[in-house]
Amino acid sequence: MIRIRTIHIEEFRGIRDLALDLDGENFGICGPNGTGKSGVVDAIEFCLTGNITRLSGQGQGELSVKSHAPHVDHRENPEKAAVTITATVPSLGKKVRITRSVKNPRTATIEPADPKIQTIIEELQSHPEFALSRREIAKYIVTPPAQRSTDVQTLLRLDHIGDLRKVLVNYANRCKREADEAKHVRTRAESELKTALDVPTLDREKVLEKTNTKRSVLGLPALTELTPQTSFKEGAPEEGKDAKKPGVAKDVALADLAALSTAIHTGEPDDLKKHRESALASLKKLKEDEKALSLARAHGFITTGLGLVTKDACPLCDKPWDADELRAHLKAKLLSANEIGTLLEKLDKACDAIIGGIQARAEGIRKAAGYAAKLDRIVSHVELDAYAKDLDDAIAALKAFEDDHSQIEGAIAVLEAKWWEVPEDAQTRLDETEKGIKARPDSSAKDKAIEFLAVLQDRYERLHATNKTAGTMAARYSTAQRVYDLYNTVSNKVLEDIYDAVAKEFAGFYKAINDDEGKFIGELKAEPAKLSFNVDFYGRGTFPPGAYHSEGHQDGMGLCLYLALMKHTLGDKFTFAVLDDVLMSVDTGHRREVCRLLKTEFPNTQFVLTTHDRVWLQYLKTEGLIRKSKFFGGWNIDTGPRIWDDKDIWTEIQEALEMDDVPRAAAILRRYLEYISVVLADNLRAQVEYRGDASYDLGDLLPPTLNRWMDRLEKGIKSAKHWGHGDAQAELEKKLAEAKTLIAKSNTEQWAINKSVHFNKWENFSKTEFKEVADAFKALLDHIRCQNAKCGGYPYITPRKGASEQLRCSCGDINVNLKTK
Amino acid sequence: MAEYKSESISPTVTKVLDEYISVLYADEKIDNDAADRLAALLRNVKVPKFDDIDAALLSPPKGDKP
Repeated sequence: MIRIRTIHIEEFRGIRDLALDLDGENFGICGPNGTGKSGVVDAIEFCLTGNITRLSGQGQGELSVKSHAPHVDHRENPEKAAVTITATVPSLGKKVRITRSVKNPRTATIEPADPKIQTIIEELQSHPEFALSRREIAKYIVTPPAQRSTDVQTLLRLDHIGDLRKVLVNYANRCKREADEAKHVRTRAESELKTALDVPTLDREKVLEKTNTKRSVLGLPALTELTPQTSFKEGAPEEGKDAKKPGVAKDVALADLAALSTAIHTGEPDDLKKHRESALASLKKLKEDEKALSLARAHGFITTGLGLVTKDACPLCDKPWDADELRAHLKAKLLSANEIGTLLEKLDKACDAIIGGIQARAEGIRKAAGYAAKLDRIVSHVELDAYAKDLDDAIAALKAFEDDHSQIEGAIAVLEAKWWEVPEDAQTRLDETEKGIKARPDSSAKDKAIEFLAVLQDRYERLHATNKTAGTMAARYSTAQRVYDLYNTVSNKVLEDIYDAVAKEFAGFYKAINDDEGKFIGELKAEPAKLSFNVDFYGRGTFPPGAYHSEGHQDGMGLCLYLALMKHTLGDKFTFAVLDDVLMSVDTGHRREVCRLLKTEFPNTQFVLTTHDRVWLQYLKTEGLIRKSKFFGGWNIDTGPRIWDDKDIWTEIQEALEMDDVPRAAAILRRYLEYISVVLADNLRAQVEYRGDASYDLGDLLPPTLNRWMDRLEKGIKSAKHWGHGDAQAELEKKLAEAKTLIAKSNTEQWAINKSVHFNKWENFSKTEFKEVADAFKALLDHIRCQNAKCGGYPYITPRKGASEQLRCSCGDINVNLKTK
Repeated sequence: MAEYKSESISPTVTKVLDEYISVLYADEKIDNDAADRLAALLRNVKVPKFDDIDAALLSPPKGDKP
């Protein structure tokens, strides 16, 4: 990933021309709603991916990047709408310049044209989740489990895993079908051989006995063994030499016709009847709910739709609906993936059995047609061929349904037609054929033997061939199933590990921003087609986040889950993220913890944070999360955002003094000290006189806070002395002495006893007098904060409740042990 | 969050495939050559078709035969 140095935006969304200098560091953008903050976020996303989620995401059907990304005055000139980002690529130690115009959103100009840089940018395109908006954060939390599964899998780039699973299961299923079919063919070949031999079972001794009886008629030596290469007719004269019409073994033909006749008179076999009736009922159910099948195929779409029903209207067409009624309507239509899968599996199984039965009948009819053609007085076999063709069509219709489950009509037609009933004209031909065969004069014993051995050879070889094919197909299916099973096992295990790791990371982050929830746990559990997410609620069990937690907590969870997922997905490559107004939704009491979390857990990630709350921006600065920021102070359609530099407080005071505006400088200092006193009082757990209306002025907060600062330093000295840490003790004693001097200079201690030095009088000071005051407070605050330039944060006491154990800053450079036991 | 089809396989998918392929090699019922061919197929960004898998699992690709 990258770190952004500069952004230049031209005629894009609500922005006319804007340049921002981030210098590769965290950056804050603050401003009221409607001042163009999100335009910057859109510009970053567009430049890096060619897309803008807000224009192409869910429910944005009428919007498009090409039509609506340019400034409204340049809708017809998309080439004027462009964004240029300069960045560094930490992993390569290189700089890059990326320019993208709305005219060609799919193509970015990347300089230099380095293939490695190109790969990094492509990777960014595949992770548009680097930009997270406040609206999107909720989707991780209060989303239906099936949709969460899709969203999380999309973020983790797991969709390919699902695609591969699908293709492997389809491969295994088709191999199974083909193996079953080969098995049916083999069974029929075996049955035909038994018919020819007139034996109920294929027994080696029996086959040899029957064969040798015929061979002895021809004076041929008896066969003693049966192998795949056995030639039953070896040594026999050419088939049917004395027969009037060669090629028909009368006894075998009559046996075949008798077997066919028995099958016809039996009617529909009982087992096939059960399959047909159950399949027909299921198919009719699907047909009656005509859309159910296609809806099931679009399961994800409908589930998304359900999640989007938030008001009394259809989220797609805005048609008025009662929200509860619409949800019930969608749920009634939606057959779950599991139900559909089970139903279709049962249907395929039934169809396979029925196909086997129809194939056996078609083969019997074709054989009869063959006999008819070989009679002296040829019997027309057109009707038999037509019946066989109908049977083939029936098989094709069932197979078409198996391949594409929307082909219901053809399958229902097959199951409603009585395929086992022979058409009258075909039955007449069968009767004529049997009569014709019977009318044939009996062959001589020798011819009978020759004909028998020829048929036996043919059917024996066929049985071997079909046996071999069935074996090959069974082995193929076995491999296919094995390959699928292994894939399933491995991918499920990897996914479970990933979800466990993400859930653990999530819980750790959430605990870090809510240290009142020490036992908090989160669980991500993958189930078929859904991903359940449950969180602890004060040790009373785990529940979906929306069940009991406040919206603020839910948003905090959304942010934590997002961060955990990104950290897991990108690891060291998570060097850049845009959080668009996300922080606003975090509970006020946990804002600083969020800042610390981002700072300590993601020190190598560049965050671009937008907020409409100045206090939040101040928190971000105070906690040292951001140094640079811009304030968007207004917007109009002709000029775009009006931007003011969000200056350093001391620079602002200095500028006011340079203009001899002491009252303004005093107001700035007082406002800032009021803010920072709240931060420090909270950080240091200062003992402040309680007010029910929480209305504390500077005089209420600052003196006890500074006393607390000195008190904690003293406590640290005692601790260092107790543990025999001489160096630490000396350092803290020096720090305490410095604190006393600086606090004395600020005159804060005298506010209570000498009103003339009270902050209320500052506005009446001369410029020189006030400058001394401002310098004193600046020195005092600089003294308290961490001296590490990369941190600069104010120290805080841990834990937040109970006995103080440690005084520390988020980088750890300030690390004072307060324990003496 | 916009969906954007990646031109490369994600690290998570790569992890699944790495483990899967090592399991395939260790499996006595799967021929190592077949595992090789299947691995090459699955590491492709495009999802393979039925015939591709069939060819990978059942026979060497064209040109391998003498």
